[in-house]
Amino acid sequence: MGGAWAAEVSVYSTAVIGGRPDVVDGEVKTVATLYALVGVRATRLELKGFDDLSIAVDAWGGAVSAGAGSDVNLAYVEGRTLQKRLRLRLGRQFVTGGVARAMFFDGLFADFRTGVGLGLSAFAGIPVERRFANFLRGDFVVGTRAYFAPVYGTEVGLSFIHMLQRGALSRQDAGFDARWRPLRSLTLAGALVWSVSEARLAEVDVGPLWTPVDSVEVRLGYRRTAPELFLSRTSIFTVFADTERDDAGVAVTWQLARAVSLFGDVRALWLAGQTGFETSARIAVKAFTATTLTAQFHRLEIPSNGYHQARVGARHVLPSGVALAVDLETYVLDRPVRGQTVSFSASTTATWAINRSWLVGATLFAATTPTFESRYEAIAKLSWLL
Amino acid sequence: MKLPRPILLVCGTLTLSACAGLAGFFASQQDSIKIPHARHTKAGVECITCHETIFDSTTLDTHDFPKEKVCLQCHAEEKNKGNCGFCHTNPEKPATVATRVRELKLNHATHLERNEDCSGCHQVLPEPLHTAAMVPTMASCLGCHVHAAQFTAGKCEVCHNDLTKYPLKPISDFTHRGDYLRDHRLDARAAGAACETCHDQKFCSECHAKTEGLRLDVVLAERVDRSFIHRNDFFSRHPTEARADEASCLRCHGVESCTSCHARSGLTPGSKNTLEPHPAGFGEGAMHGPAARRDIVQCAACHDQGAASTCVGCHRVGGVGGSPHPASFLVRHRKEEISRNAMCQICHL
Repeated sequence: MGGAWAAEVSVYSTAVIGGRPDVVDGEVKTVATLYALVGVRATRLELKGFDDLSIAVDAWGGAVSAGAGSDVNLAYVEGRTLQKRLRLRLGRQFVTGGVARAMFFDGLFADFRTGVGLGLSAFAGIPVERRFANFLRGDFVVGTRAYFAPVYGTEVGLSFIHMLQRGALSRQDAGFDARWRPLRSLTLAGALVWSVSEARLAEVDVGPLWTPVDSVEVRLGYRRTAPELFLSRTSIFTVFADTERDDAGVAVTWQLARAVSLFGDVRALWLAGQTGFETSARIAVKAFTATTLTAQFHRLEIPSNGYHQARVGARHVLPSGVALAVDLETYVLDRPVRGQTVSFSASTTATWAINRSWLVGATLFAATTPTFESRYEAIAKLSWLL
Repeated sequence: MKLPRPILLVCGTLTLSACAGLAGFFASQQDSIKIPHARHTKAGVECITCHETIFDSTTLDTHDFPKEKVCLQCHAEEKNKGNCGFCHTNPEKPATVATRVRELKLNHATHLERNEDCSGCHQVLPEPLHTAAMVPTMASCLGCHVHAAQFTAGKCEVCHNDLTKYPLKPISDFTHRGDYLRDHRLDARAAGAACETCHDQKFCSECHAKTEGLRLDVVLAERVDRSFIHRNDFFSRHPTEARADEASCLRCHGVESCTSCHARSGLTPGSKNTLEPHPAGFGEGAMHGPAARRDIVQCAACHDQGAASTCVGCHRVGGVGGSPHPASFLVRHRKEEISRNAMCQICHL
């Protein structure tokens, strides 16, 4: 690594301290939350043979959820070589695309892309579980995706993933994904995941987006999943069921004015032969760039339960950098949980961006919910960026 | 004592003015060089006379401002007279030009090889006391046909070193409107490279990291405008949400996440202060059988203890519960698999 140095380094941190109720051994107790995340980015490192070399580390430590702990969210070195055609990334990282299903792993990722948009990516390593639990013998993942991306935003890919847990097959999927914009007003996107080990369709997901005019978007959506195929194949619960869940619906967004947008959607649900539906509506107002107001309504109904939910959130940023936010939410369950159907939450937050690098904030939260007859939380936060 | 509103307004205005004045005062103390570009141009001074090194400049990382000796070729008399204020805004504390990190890739040398007319891009030049940046706009870059094609193709890295610091939203191709929290999966799956143009891995990991210690809606409580899945009292309604879309939970949370929390809550077999969440008679096959067939992920959320799972005792081969496999399972799985799969051998001894 001789001859490498950081051209630009940034360090940032967020520390949170607070107190809240939690369920411990079946009893409600007040626990303290102490949390500090520290991140480091070093970009534009220079190393012979590589372009855009960078290092990223995000790690946290503290006492959360009634227990002390620490972990690493990200820790990788990334660079491009072969005239930027080949991208390599080594370490704890995040991979998306095809059947990878937004996965974190410790290992190597490589992506080679030709000048005409043909590419092949591959990764191998150990899937990340919480608190370094992944360093158990026998956990391993390997995956690959071949794709063709002729222009920005248009791509078609074929992918495969093979994952072991404690040495036994946990997941083996193959998939097809595509995003295509045949017209300026139409984007077609979708994916299909086939469970190779179970010879079943694990997921189909399509969502065409139509923009008849710049201020209006209409998105249709259909998705089928086989929920038990999202369980690890090592679980004994994979042998009991063979079900499908479907949902189909439409969502409309209307940018009524530069500062006002409206959103509404409705979806029908089919849950292993039973039906339900989900609908929501939202208005968002951004006035004078300093004030944000969001109001929304949500209704979910499934055979086992359902709820009506309403929420209002407002935030105003003063010229001094002080921001005040208020959030109110209530929902009413169709069937009681612990004898209660109504939940009400309220929070107020004040933050002060002292300058571009420092921010302090405090939040007070109060609620009465089916789980907690009364719930109070206080949170203080300090963030900085150097 | 309640003060009248006009007095409050006046006090507020005075306070703000004082703050602004102080900020301006401190800013004005920093030295800068007064260059009247318009006067130089009117006098027939060509750009190259002062900016000679720019013709060999291949990046924006180098200092290409004229050095003092270049200015003194014409203005030595003022320096000899001690009139430092002729050029310096703060001659008491003359400063050197600060090094700035440039986020753009720009090769002046190749541009000037094609066209030596600087005004093609630099249509407005800085004047003394004009604090606003006078760098060419992106529109002037896109006036060139080559750049227009790259912009259309989304090849931003040709010019930009790093876009993650900019609050850009590529509204033409990825609008981020509506319920993009739910819909972004479609774009991320099939066009993840496009996402990475603006978002680094930290952005994704804030929500997706399995190792993260604290929920994002707690860390960013002030962002009431953002959609967070677990905001406020998600806890009480999470069984309903989970039943509505089990796969959605399992994408981020392994079933271990469910069982560990349910154990703390006294819901799993053998946990401390065990609760009984099931209705009376649920142990009868007529009740729990159809529920398990329909909703097996819910069962796994509390009962997945491997070989010690509750179901094994009754449903193992020869047990009173009989075979739990659906007919379709038997079609896809042959008996030979049993000897190769440790999980099968829990029941098939």
